[in-house]
Amino acid sequence: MGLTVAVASGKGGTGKTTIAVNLAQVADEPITLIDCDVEEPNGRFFIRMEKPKHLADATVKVPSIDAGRCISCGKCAEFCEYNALAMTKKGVMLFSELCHGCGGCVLVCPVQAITERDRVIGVIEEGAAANIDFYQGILNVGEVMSPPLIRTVKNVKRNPMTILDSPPGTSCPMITAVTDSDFVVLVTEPTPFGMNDLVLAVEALRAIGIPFGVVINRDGSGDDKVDKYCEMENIEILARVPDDRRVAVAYSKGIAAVKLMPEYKKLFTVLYKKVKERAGGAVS
Amino acid sequence: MKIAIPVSEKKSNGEIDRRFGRAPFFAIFDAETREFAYVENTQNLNSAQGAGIQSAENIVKAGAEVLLTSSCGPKAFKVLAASDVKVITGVFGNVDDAIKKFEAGEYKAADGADVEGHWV
Repeated sequence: MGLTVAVASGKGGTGKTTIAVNLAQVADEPITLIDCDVEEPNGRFFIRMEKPKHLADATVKVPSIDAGRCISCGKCAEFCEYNALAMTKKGVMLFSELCHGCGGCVLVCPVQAITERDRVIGVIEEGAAANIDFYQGILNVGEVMSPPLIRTVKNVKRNPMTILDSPPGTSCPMITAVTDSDFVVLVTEPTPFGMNDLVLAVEALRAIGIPFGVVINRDGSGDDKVDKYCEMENIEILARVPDDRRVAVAYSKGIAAVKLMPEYKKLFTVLYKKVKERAGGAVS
Repeated sequence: MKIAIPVSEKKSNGEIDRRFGRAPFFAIFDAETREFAYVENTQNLNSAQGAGIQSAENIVKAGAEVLLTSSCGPKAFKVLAASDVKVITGVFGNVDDAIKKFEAGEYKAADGADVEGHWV
């Protein structure tokens, strides 16, 4: 079993992708980098590689109703917790975008009029660069349920070390991404918003029991409340990435800081070793 | 013919509830007997979407052929259309006034939803 380190944050825009792509590129071993931020995957822009190629479709199960068999009893619509099925005078109507794919309607139908079919909700793409095997999930526009796609993109062939770029927040997409990880890097910024959402992310990770540490990004740009909180809660601050315009300029050109500036190469090498160790791996 | 109207209270001559999907009740007016009945707009509150779909089903179940409502979203409209319920949107204010206006032929049936689908 390989190791998995997920990079997550309660608040969006704190620098998850920055941390993930720098960690992956500073490693001196093969890395599987998975961009699980399927509504807005952008990790690929910070790694020099060919455009990622289609690997597989991600699908969910939705009911398919045989109108010839259906007796319009309404049991399936009554059962559906998500209102994906509705009874009309012309029979059962399906709203497939609301379906969670539980399969309950198939079970409750007394005349076996319902079967399941696959509905495509997004794609999985793959790419490769230097030491990185890259994967990303892309959710189709208009889809509202990303967890099935996140589960699919996580289910790829892995190197001994995997870095996951999680979607922001603390709801189902984030939980789906970080579940099964050995260690989570929570990226935050030293601002009231960063602080508020860090607390939520800490609570979520404690509830599901995954060890974690904090990276303070844009360190020095705000106040010391995150520091005080981490001290009080006994949370390790793994690294501080300074509030440095050069990092932002590099980012705007799609260049990872470690490829440009030796001090960042050093910072992220130390961070990489640390997170690998925290995840349970031996450090060479 | 029965006319459904979203209301927040089970009382005569009340106001139309502007939230079609989340209205607590539907007043069902029977145009022949001139009497009101009320059906609960039961909802699965755990579900972030689909309130309109359930409301539409409740209206169909109540046997209404017309819905007078402030607004109606695309999914609910589909369910109602498939059940031959005439939907009239943009109806506000007093329930009795709305019925009077409807019976005087002042309203035109909508040919589609007048608002976008939305969360919660």
